[in-house]
Amino acid sequence: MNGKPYEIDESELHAWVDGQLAEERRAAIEAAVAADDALAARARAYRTQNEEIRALFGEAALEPVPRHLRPHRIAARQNRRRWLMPLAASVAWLAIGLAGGWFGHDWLHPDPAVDPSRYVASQALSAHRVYAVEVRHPVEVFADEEAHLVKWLSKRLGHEIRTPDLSSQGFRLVGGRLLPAEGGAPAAQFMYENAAGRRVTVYVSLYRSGQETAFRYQTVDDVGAFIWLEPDMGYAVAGDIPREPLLAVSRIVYDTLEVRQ
Amino acid sequence: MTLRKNGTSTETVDLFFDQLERWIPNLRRYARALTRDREQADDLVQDCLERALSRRHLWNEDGNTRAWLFTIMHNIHANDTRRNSSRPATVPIEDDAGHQVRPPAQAMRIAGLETAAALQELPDEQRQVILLVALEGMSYGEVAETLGIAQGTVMSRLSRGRERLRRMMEDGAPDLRIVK
Repeated sequence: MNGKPYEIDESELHAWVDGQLAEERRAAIEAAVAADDALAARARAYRTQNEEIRALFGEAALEPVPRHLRPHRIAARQNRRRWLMPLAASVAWLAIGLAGGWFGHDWLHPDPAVDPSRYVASQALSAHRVYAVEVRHPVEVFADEEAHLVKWLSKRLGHEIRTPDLSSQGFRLVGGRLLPAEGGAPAAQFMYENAAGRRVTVYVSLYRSGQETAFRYQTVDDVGAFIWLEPDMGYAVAGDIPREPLLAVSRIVYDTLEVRQ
Repeated sequence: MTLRKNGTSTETVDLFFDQLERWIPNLRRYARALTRDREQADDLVQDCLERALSRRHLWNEDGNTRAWLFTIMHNIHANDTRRNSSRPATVPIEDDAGHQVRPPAQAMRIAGLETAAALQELPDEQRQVILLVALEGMSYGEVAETLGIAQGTVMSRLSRGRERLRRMMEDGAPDLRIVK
């Protein structure tokens, strides 16, 4: 050993081995390695490691890609699934109904008395799932008749409802529809869409839980929903967008709808 | 009123698919090294692509798609590993029913096997860094981005991992029959 004639950093040794060293440091590292057998042995060993790892596994990148890994195929499969799921769900429901009653009821269908938030979430998420994929009939009344839509749904729900303005989040109103809710009560769904074709739905249900809750978040597959309750209303905002933007949307919806009574 | 289900321009979508296609061989190679099992590796790649496709709205055309994809794959792998940690994950390397990864013929020499076995002895976090650098040829910055750690952490894991590998090789091969 010859003391420490060259100041070299551990990470520079690795960078040199990996060909990632800044050009101006190369001479210094090479000199240091030449002067230090232990350093040279390490560099050699690291290089050999790299080579052997490449020899061991490198070949996998040269194999032809199996068809089931082609992105277009995977995307097609996902689309199919997205379309079939509501159908499969209704078939399953029918089967359960026919098979004799309500054995599966509590399990498949959250009991409103036990967990009102989850109940509202499941209603809102199924409604989202069914209608958000609709191309031609996503809503009953389109946004070009917004005044009529609002008047109609306010009347049916017995509450004055306003359509939240979500343009600050990049979403514009597509329209809305009436839905059945707990015990034959009505619910309303408003649908919004952004420039990328992503949709979020706002669900407002005439639902007497007697509770008042903060936001709760729930996801089923790729669709997430923020839910909150007022004593006689249930609200949800659902969409397959990430949690943060969905929360931003939900806040606006909350601010718009909250003061109504 | 006409509504388009998907307002994304066709061009952007095509670019997205091109990018996915482009990195599949790399994803497969890394997955193979991580799992050491051809089928498991391709399952991992498939999960990764599915997740990438369902999150295409998060894809940034100008960002580093490779790092983005590797991060996704990496998270899935970490979850799988956690889920399976209770199960014994011992796969004998010679127990080859056509599914296990066999080192390619030219690397059948004992040194290659030693390296493979020694790699498996490393903690995951060190092995990942070494593989991303050696196999994938990623810059240290990209490794940091992919793993969501600081570059200094990348360097210390690389350094510790390599040194450990080196010592294992010097001390003789770890038992080749037991490969975790």
